[in-house]
Amino acid sequence: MSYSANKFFVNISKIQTVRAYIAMDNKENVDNLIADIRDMKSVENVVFYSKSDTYRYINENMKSITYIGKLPEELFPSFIEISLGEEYRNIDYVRDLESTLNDLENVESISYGEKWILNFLTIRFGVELFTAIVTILLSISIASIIYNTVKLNLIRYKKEIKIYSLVGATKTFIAVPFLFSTIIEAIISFFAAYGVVFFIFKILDTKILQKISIDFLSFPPLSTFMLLFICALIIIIASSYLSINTFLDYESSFYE
Amino acid sequence: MIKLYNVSMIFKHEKRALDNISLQIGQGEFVYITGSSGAGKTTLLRLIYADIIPSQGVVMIADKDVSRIEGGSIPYLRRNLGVVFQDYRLIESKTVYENLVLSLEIFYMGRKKMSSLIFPLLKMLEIFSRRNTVVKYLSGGEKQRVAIARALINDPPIILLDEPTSNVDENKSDGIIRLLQKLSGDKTVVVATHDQNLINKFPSRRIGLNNGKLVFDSAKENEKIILPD
Repeated sequence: MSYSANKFFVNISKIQTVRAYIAMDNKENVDNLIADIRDMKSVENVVFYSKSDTYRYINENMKSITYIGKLPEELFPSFIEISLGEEYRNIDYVRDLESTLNDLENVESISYGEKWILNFLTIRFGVELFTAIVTILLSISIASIIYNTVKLNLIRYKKEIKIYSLVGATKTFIAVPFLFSTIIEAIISFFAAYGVVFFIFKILDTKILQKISIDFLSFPPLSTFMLLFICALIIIIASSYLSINTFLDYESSFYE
Repeated sequence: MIKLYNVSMIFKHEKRALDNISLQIGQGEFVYITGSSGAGKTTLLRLIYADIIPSQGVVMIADKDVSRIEGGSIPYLRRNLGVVFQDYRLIESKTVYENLVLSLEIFYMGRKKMSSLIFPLLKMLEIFSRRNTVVKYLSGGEKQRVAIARALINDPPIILLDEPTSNVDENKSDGIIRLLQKLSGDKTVVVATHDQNLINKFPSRRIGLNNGKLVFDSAKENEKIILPD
């Protein structure tokens, strides 16, 4: 869920196009400006919209606002719409691009919906922070559950452990079977839980969300899944090792 | 083989379980630790197999200071000791064979070799026919023989027995002591018991304890004989 939420806000805060409003829209000036912009490495495509294009577009798409048709064409802006390459769609780069474009002659102002983007970035940061806190709390909870489950299991075999210890079994000899069984059980639980979540999300996505055109849920790629699995494995091994070690140290304590 | 120098053991909030005990038991000796209940016999054995460390004094087993032993070395010490506990300490849910296997598993021994060690011992102790019986279905005497078999399976140089005759009738106790004397050879055998009849029947060196104090040692010439109650 957090992966989906994060991906959603990453996508929504990407800046795909930047508009450069121009002061004088005579052909020579515009062609020079387009040529300058096309030379920039981040630019994927450039389209010029004249005052009349803007006027026509607004008239066609805002028919409910009747007075627009009565306004003179000269009042509408002419601009160049710059489509950015995939890797240059972040706010930091766009701010650099904005200052470069402002330095060009004939550019009056730049617009890319900064206010919206900043709002989305704030929400994204909040979501990331929330996800990080939830992940930490969940990791602590999982570690605690594993620690206590292993301890309960060890308590169940306390008598057998003591007998093994009395006949000369080393701590490693006693600990290894418990450690392995815990790791195997926890890995099976991890895949089972992931499978259940995957199918619930898949059904939710295909049966409900896609039908109402909401493209929110997305599944992490294999690399993210593997990273998640490695983190889970580290938590499993560390918590079960700690549990077994503290139990055996306590149980083989000399003092009563 | 076993040496104790001024050993005292004080458990938390309790009186002295052992009070300034010094003794030596040589290789191949068969020794009774006698005394009434609460005299400190079991505590003395526990000190020897490093289940506890003394509050004061030094315990030496085969010239190794057990009182300062590190946790990691204890298993290796215990592999040289065969212990028969008063409550047998057998895994009730496992069979006789499985209970003996666990003493050999720690050496990562193969099944075939394990069987070659276990079967003759079970035959000698006359419990071979019960090898696949779950321990909880055995009688007290049978459990005792399983515990003895487990103590002997690794052929340890020291055998400790805590009240080995407490749960069996007189005939069986005689049989157990006869068997131990026969098996002992050059092994050091320490038997904690309060059974005076048994000691009289099978005389050997006696070390007497009373309220945690060593009250007599039959090996010493001018022993101070104060028999416990």
